[in-house]
Amino acid sequence: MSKQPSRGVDLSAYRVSRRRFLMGTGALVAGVACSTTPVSSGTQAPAASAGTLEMAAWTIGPDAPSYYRRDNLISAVEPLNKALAGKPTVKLDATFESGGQWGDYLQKFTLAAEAKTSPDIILAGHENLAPWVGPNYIIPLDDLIKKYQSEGDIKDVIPNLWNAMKLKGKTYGVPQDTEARPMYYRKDLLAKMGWTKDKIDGLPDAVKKGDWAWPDFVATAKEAIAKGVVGPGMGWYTRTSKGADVYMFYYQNGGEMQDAATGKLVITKDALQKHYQVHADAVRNDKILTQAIYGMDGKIFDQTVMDGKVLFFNAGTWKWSDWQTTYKVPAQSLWDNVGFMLIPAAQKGGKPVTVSHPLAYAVTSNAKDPDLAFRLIANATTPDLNSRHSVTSAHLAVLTTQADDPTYKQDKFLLATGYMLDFTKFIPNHAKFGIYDDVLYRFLGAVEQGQVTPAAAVDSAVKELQGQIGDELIVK
Amino acid sequence: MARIEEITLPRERQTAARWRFNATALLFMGPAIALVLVFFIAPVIITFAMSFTDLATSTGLSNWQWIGPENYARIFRSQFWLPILGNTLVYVAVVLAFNVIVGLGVALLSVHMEPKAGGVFRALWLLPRISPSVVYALMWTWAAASPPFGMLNYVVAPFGLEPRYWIQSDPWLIVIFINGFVGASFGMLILTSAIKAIPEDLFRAAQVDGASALQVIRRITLPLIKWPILFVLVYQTMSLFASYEYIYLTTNGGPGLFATETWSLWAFHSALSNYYGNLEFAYGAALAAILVIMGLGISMVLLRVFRFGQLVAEPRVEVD
Amino acid sequence: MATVVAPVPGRSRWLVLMPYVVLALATLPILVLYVWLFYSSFFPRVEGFRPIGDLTFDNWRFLWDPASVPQMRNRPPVIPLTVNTLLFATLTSLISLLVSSMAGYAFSRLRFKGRRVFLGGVLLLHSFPSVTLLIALFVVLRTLGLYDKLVGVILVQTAFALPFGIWIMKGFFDNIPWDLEMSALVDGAGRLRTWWRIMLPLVKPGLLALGILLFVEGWNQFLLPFVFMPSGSQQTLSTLVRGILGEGRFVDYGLLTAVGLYYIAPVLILFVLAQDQLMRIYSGGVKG
Repeated sequence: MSKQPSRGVDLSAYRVSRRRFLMGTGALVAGVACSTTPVSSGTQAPAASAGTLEMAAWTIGPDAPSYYRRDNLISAVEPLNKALAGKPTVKLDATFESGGQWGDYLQKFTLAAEAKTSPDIILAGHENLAPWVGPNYIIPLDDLIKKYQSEGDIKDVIPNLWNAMKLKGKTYGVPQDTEARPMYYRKDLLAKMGWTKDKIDGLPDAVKKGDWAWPDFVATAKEAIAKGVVGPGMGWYTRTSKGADVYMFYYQNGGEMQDAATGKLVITKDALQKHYQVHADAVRNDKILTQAIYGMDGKIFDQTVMDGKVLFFNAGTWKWSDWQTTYKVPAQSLWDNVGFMLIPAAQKGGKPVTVSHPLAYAVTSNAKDPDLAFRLIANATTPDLNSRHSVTSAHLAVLTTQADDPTYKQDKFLLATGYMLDFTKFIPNHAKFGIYDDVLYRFLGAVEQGQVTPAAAVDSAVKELQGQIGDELIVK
Repeated sequence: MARIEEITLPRERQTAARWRFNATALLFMGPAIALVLVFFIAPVIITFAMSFTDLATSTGLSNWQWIGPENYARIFRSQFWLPILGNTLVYVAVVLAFNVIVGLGVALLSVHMEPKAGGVFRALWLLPRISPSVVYALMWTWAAASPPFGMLNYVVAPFGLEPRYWIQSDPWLIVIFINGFVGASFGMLILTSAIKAIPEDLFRAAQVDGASALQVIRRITLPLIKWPILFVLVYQTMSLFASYEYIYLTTNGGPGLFATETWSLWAFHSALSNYYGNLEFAYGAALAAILVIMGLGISMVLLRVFRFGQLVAEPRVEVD
Repeated sequence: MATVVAPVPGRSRWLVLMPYVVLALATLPILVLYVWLFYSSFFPRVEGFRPIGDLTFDNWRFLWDPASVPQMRNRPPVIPLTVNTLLFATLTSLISLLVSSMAGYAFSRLRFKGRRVFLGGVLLLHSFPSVTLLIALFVVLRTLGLYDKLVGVILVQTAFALPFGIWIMKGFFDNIPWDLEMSALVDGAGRLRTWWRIMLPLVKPGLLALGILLFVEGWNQFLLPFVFMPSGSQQTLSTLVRGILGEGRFVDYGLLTAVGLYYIAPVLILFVLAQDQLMRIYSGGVKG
């Protein structure tokens, strides 16, 4: 180790560079601090002039074609301002998240709501509203709905849909769109199996009437595999990840999820077991559903079903549009080869089901002027605006008047699926639904994997639910 | 081991020196202490306190209540705390072994070859660590995908293994590999530098004495890098207890009933990741609290076993 | 100072080749993964190792024509995001360096009350799952008025990087012979000057290496910027990648790998250039 004299070490070479470094860093930090102005989300900033009201709105797809969720609000600004005649003038800053995840979006809102920087209007799934009611992130809309009945086309919202917006009797959202989750089927494959064109075309109707039920479904899928029309495990592809439609099979077997009176969550053990049994049988006994379905990559799912390799598959109505845009399947090819129907009833003569997941606009407690925020939403809820969204993103109408809308009428698909709303169910509005769902979905996965029998799964699941949300649960 | 030498200053400067010492220490440690206090200590305390409340998205930050140890009771009411604990221990142990052994292996191998070649290999091994987690996890997800897309299936086909959806059929394998390749790079980096720092004369002397490569490794290299290995072991253990990101991005704790769920992932899921937005902050905090205690316990054991005291050698310059 | 066990004449050839073979096999998986990332971004679809479709730059059009990419249509353009990410990474790196080198020096050279506790504590802090601090940090940031600001996230990231940084800097300082300082101190130079003028220049390789690592960590960071800077204008590239990943329903792997590659590229280049410094991060590791 060489010794260096303390004196005489020439540090002058360092001197300038150190100072420069320090100044450079200081300048950088100062620059950032100055450039990082306090974020004004539009709701906090004072109005530019006395007569302007700035509002902010957050919306999300995540599917890209749903951008009208934002654009409709923007289009609503003009009629609103006309009605207000400058007292004040409304300015809107609306965002739309394309791609991305629901969880992140919701969490972003939660944190913003707590920091009181949330937008005036938030778009969310109807079931997301329930947890926001407790901490007062959003406001009840009943009075506003009554007061502004004639604004936009609020009064023509399909009545059944309001049910999905309520928590303990109060309404918290305005339906923005809805959809259904049909059972799709490949017409070309059925034809290969020897089905006549009439039989194929008549299938949705037969399901609707309850003539063609789940046992028929399973038999057909098995036959397809036996005949080699599809590969093993490709008779039926169900949903690959969490979501509302998982519960279609619970509802199919008579399950209940929410007690209307108390608002508490309900679990019907018998229905749950049948729901699990349906999946267990499909994967393990009848072998019409591949075990790899649980958590399968969405893109692989879509590719496979669009390649015509699967006979029956579950997806949302919005996928019809998505398959055309993202997967570039020509529309005619889709109509020729793919059909759609309700989820067949559990037994012949029963009622078929589907599940809908309406989205809603809500007014936050951070809104500077809740009346105006509501009115903006109302003005965005008109047949023409809603229809253009419906048609572009393949979501169903929320207004009865949309059935007469010229844009809407042109969409064969929407018209053809509209009837499903009569059979549809919703997931409950409850602050702890997420926990309920988490437990049930995990056990579903376990059942599909063969890790546990349906009966044992039900017992464990109910036990777990009671341990986790006991006081909010009614077990039937 | 360098001996600590003491300097004695003239008397009148001693007291002044001591006073200056404490002020100096404060000056140097100040910013670090401030940051740690505000962004580590305070949140840690808040988190522990939070675990005794019912803070969740359903209560918001203003509507919560103290509920005592209810969250902890709820944890142990779950049928899954034991399997998840088991998962965590297995995960930490296996990945740790992978990390240290492979890291050491790569370090050793890469110094026994042309420096340029060694450098290239080490660079490749560092790739996973410096990649954004999302992108890296994406690669593994794709590799593990079901046919016809997944790469792994093509690789194992010649060996007669059936093609499968790896994330479902062998989730542990994926979890271990994805974390292992990232973690090994940490050990490799540290150990390579440590090995390179060993004076060359030692090696030359050994060669002159006719020692084989293996003997050199066993007798010279390994003992001299004992402390870096130790550091890697301890640091990685604690890292692994707290890590969950790659698991989250690939198997997400699945499939099914928490097959690959670790405790930290469980905490994350509860507090920040619910499909319907039901975030249970306080419950997650309770889970995290238990995790911290576990991590602390294990670190204490490790540090005690490897004689932490020697690692924290007294400072070289003491002005008394 | 390369430590290479030179082949002794007469040593069997396989012994010389062995490291190459073994390491090549072990490294193969990594190579495969990254090669896939690379060429998957130039084809519409890839099945296993087989690309489907023709070589195309289509996936890359998010760079020059974001409007044509459905997933990008509603996002801030890539350049500002890149600048944000750069700013975030650079600032966290610099501030971390400063704080770590100060604290590392103190741990290495100063004797003060509670030193051991601090040192142990620093290591233990690392074990706290950072994600669950998130909620509590939200409260802290809000109280300090730093929520939704770049400064706030930078400070959090810096704090999280401290344990590692302090350990590394301490290691570097430990390896510098104390006689330099001693002479300076005996001559009456204060600690601060000594540190600034003498010690820091001597640990420059360490500073550089640590700085680069910290920069990379800042560049790759997703969770913190996303949770604590929710407003669109200050997002980082990681959010973009995550956003395109979607919920598994609309994933376009071609696009995703292209964006991913774009995101990784600067880091890779940096690494290739600064590899030596990084390797030195634990030089002089003979301890004890």
